[in-house]
Amino acid sequence: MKELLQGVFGGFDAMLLAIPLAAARWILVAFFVAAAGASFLLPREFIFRGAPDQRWYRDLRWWAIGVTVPYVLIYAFVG
Amino acid sequence: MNDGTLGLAGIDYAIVLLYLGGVLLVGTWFARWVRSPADLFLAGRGLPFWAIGMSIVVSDIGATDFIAVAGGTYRYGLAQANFDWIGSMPALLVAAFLFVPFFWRSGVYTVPEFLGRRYNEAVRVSLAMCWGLILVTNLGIMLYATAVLLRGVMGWDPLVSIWVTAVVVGIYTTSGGLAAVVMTDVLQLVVMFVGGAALAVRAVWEAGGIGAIREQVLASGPEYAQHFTLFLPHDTTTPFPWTGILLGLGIVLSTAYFAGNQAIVQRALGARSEWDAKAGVVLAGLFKLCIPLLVAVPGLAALVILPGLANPDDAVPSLIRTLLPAGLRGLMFAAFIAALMSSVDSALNSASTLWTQDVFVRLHHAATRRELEPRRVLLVGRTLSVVFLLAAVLIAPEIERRFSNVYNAIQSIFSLIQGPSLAILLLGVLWRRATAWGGFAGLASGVTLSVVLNLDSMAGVFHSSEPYLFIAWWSFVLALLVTVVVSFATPPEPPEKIRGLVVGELRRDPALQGALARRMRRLTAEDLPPHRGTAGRRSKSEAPLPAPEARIAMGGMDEEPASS
Repeated sequence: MKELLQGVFGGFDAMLLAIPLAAARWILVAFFVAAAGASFLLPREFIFRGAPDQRWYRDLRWWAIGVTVPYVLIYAFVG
Repeated sequence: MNDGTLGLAGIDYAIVLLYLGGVLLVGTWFARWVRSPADLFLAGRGLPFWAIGMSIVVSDIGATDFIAVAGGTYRYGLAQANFDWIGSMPALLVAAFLFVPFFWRSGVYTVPEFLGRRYNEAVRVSLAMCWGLILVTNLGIMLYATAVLLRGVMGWDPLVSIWVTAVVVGIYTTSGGLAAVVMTDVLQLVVMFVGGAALAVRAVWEAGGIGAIREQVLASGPEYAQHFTLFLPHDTTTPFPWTGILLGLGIVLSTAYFAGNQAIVQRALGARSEWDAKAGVVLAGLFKLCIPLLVAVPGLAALVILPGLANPDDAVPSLIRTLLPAGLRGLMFAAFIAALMSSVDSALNSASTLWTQDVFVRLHHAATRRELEPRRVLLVGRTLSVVFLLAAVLIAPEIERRFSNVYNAIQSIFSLIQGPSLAILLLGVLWRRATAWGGFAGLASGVTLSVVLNLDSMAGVFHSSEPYLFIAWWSFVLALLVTVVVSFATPPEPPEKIRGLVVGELRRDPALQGALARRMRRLTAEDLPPHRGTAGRRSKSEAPLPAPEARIAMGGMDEEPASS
């Protein structure tokens, strides 16, 4: 059992080792950007459902962008 | 002070007493509005977004984070901060826009209740029991770990710390319920941020600024070369290889934590509107951004101010002792207690909700074929809170004896269930074809793999000495595969069963849209006027809850039958 699991996990490990660290970092940055950007694919009606009004500052898509930008900057330039 | 304790002055004790009194006052004040299970467990569905966001973050940060995260940063560098950064942000967006709207609309009390509607009662009860036990165990770990910590830095007897915390938290959690928990969390977040910021700013100032810290740390030797690197190679000797961070933490553990952990999701379920639920979860991402600045930066500054500490976990206590004057030490101590209480009250309230709603009420219904009256549910919830608190206090020393490292204990326990529960949650919400037995088989196989991989005989399967990130990833993958295979092998669920519980259903179903519109009108116009605080609200929850069968038939979307 242990050998079988080691074989499965080891093969996956070898595949991941082939990815350069710099590329992995940009995959992560893309992951953040995609998550925030995907919120703009959501219908406006869904975003504002339950909101007292539809003023621009209640648009949660912009909230998502605003909250994600610092994370993108951290991982792009500090990471 | 040379005994290792902080040496509090009179003014410090006054600040701590003021804090404890304030928390008790705020917490018990909300007891006057608790008249039904929904008031106790969901704050009468009256929580505003800002309180939800603050409460989510503060529930996540425990007193031991102040010590252990700073210690981890001292030892491993900035990579420790991944747990607050990548460990929260994409996951919070996924939770806010994908899962939380479904949970909130369906009017459930718990995540297992939602999964019970989507799959079956076996999934609901088994998941609720697992989560309930994990939360109570975690409660015991947090209580004892913090008591040991307080003995080290304050010289307090651990049993005294445990009982003082248990009594204060127990009073406001059992009387005021989720509203008390969330509103005291808001107060606790302010205390934590002010105390943490005071230490971080003072430490960075003393070390000569961030630039000077970076220069001096990197010049300290080759072992510090990666102390300012967030992404470490796969073969790193630290517990944070990028593979584990991205796959185990970024994809599985963080999403499972923010979308499937009852202690976190319960705040969003108590939101006064769907928008507040989503906004609160997104806002939590902003506060989470600040956490490493408060707990990790002092660890880096300590490398310059106090180099060569034998035990890195002494970094924060030593900084407090060395840098902070009387008054600020008391504030920092209050921040420790605030961090502890905010985590304990959340775990307690959620464990009680899970066992009351998903275990006790369901077993009672199965045995008697009758629904339990709301006032009895309320009594059961409060009684279970007291029982769980006592159980956590009593098992705390035993947990400490069984695990050599408290953080390993917490992470190992959570990794048992987070991956499999995320897999069935994800497929349940995204894939119409996922079936009840597919979900149950996926959950059971994933948890079994987690348990097997945690056995001592499996040591060495992963190259990491602390493989919980990889265990979470692989148990998630297995649960996903098994759910898909078994779902294809079993008949599809009838459309009326999954109505309103799967993405895309709402757009396809005009009747469902009508039901949702009625529900929104009722919540926002009749019972809970928008932008009215939790205080002073009159809860719709006094009305008797509809029978579970009726709600299941409606896909949990509305109590009223919708014409189709």
